[in-house]
Amino acid sequence: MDQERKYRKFIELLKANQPELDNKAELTEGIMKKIGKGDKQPSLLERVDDVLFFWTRSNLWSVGMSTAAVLLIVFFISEQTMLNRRIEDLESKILIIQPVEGGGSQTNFSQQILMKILIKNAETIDSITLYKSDLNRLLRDHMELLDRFEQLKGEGVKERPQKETQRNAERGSKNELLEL
Amino acid sequence: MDTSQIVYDCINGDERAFRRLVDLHADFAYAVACRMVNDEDEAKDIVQETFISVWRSLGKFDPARCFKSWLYRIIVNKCMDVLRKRKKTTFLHIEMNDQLVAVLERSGNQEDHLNKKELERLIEIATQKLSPKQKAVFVLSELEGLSHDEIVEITKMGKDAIKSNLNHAKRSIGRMIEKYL
Amino acid sequence: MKKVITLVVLLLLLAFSCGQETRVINVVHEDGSITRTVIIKADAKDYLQFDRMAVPIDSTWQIRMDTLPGKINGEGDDGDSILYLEATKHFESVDEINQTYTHDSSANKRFSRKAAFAKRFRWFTTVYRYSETVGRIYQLEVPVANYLSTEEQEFFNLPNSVKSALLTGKDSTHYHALSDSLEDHFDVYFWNTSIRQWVSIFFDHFGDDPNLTMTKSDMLAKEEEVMSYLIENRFGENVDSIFLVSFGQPFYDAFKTEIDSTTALLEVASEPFFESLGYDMEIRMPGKVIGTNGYLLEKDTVDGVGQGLLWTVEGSRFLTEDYEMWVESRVNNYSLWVVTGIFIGFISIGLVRLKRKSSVDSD
Repeated sequence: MDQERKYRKFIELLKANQPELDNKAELTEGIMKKIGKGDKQPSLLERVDDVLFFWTRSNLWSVGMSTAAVLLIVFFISEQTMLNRRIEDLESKILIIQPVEGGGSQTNFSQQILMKILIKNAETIDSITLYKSDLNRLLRDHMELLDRFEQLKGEGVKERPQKETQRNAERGSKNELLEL
Repeated sequence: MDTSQIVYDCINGDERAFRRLVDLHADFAYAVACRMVNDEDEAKDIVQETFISVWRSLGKFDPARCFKSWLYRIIVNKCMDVLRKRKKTTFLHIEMNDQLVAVLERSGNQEDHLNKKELERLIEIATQKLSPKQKAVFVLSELEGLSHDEIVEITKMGKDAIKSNLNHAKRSIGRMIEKYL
Repeated sequence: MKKVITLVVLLLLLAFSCGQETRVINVVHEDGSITRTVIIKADAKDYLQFDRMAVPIDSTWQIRMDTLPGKINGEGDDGDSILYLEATKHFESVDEINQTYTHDSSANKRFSRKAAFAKRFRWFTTVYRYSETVGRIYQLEVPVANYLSTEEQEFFNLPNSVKSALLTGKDSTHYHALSDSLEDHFDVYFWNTSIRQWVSIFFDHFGDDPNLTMTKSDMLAKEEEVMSYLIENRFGENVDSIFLVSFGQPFYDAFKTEIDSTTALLEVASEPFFESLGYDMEIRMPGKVIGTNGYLLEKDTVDGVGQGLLWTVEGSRFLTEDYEMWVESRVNNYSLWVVTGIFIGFISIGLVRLKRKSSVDSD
């Protein structure tokens, strides 16, 4: 109790004896002088700092800017992940081959001829236009086919003299072409 | 004139308004600083630095906020910096001061005034074992009469920490008074 | 006298192929303009006339002609030479290409072709999409996939040059067998769809005839019967017998004129298929390819310009389905990567400063 009482008295004493500032005017002048010496104006760095980081002083702004930064990061990661996945899928599916020269294009010539025969009614067809180069190739292929056929026949098959076979085949193909 | 209006003018760069602001708050700032650092000259330096900081930081200050709390905060931080920098002195053999004892033992007399030296001595004896935080809490709570919420806002300490520091300060001061006064 | 096609001639015809190769290379630029280069190799001058070319080319193109040693489609003797034509034109947009297709006087003028280009800005990347679509020949829509196995379909979709590489490669036996079965199934698909197209034309023009007792469904139900008859007898009989056998004498007698008209109309409808000149289409996009239904070329045909993708355009691929050749690519917008990085760094610094300031008052 005694201690408590002394403590209370101590506090009261301190409260009663508030420190007093003497020479307040001098202190004030000192402060005003210092701020007038250019301390009034913030330095360039401080001004740049104030402008750049104005948003840190506002909750709304700082939350907004942070959210924007996070969203950009998330968007970047998700987009790159998605694109890389597409590229990986593509590379696993695509057949990458060095195309052979002369793959070129093929016409549906066989179907064309068949269709023309059927549609036009076989009796009424007089001719089909072929270019000279086409015809030469046709004859050449015919000869090659005959050679291959002979090769595949093998032993035990009645063989004709090759020349006779070729002549017949040529004659036959010419006749059929003329008929067409 | 309303402080918030003066502050608003200061924000706009009005030096005269700032002078007025200093005039209004220099005494209170000095009293707080003096009670914390217990040194007249250092207290004046702290007051000067405080108001220079205020001038520089006015651009960032929101006039809607309480200026006094902000000022308290700057003063307390600067005082705590000074206290931390002070070398830890060895325990002083404090001589019994008859006059001070007499003052304390006198009952019911509110008219007792101490001179500056006596005041400094009294505070020095009583608070020599307090840490800067404990001292800050003690001054703001017991001498400035601020609530715990206000002290939270100034020191950014938690309420429990404030209670703990205050209790510790009270006990320490009580023991020192018991022992030496 | 009936005209007969013997099996030998049929085989000869099957062995036959066209005396020209055309490759159309489209280099797509980021601004949507396209530089188109057409390379034609031919063994006859006829193929180098504008109206015999696979894509529309005219005198506004830059044209270069030469004679080079080589063969067409790998056929011919060593020492043969071929005619080489290279035509180039820069189109400011796909609209200009589409205009050439609209006023098309090339060998493929009956094709319904359209090009499209799209560009999407997605901050860190820009995605480009280019496509060329050839409209289907027959009105009815029948997926060729209904007639082919998965493997056959994959093989069918390959560019012809890729097929040739596979047929001469190490698994050639397998691919030859696949090619043969594909051909058989394609024939069935072709004749099936032609029959359906015939029926569709017949009912479009003569379906309101009061004397017609057969419905469209009835006629379509006879599809299998007609198919079998065609396969068994197409080398020995005339076409009239198909209708006689499948639909009966009364029908044939009543609608002989209409049958002939329909058959003639079918021929006209089929002309884009038969008279088309196939060609290879190559598309090169800016940046990295991220999606396509084409085939990636291993070796660049145009130096230093993106990745090339290849398709073959020929009638069989769009008889009953639109044929779209599309590719998507992406280009990274590195400048925006840097800007965004700086922005994020700036925000991070600000947040660190904010954290520090909230605990200690500033000076």
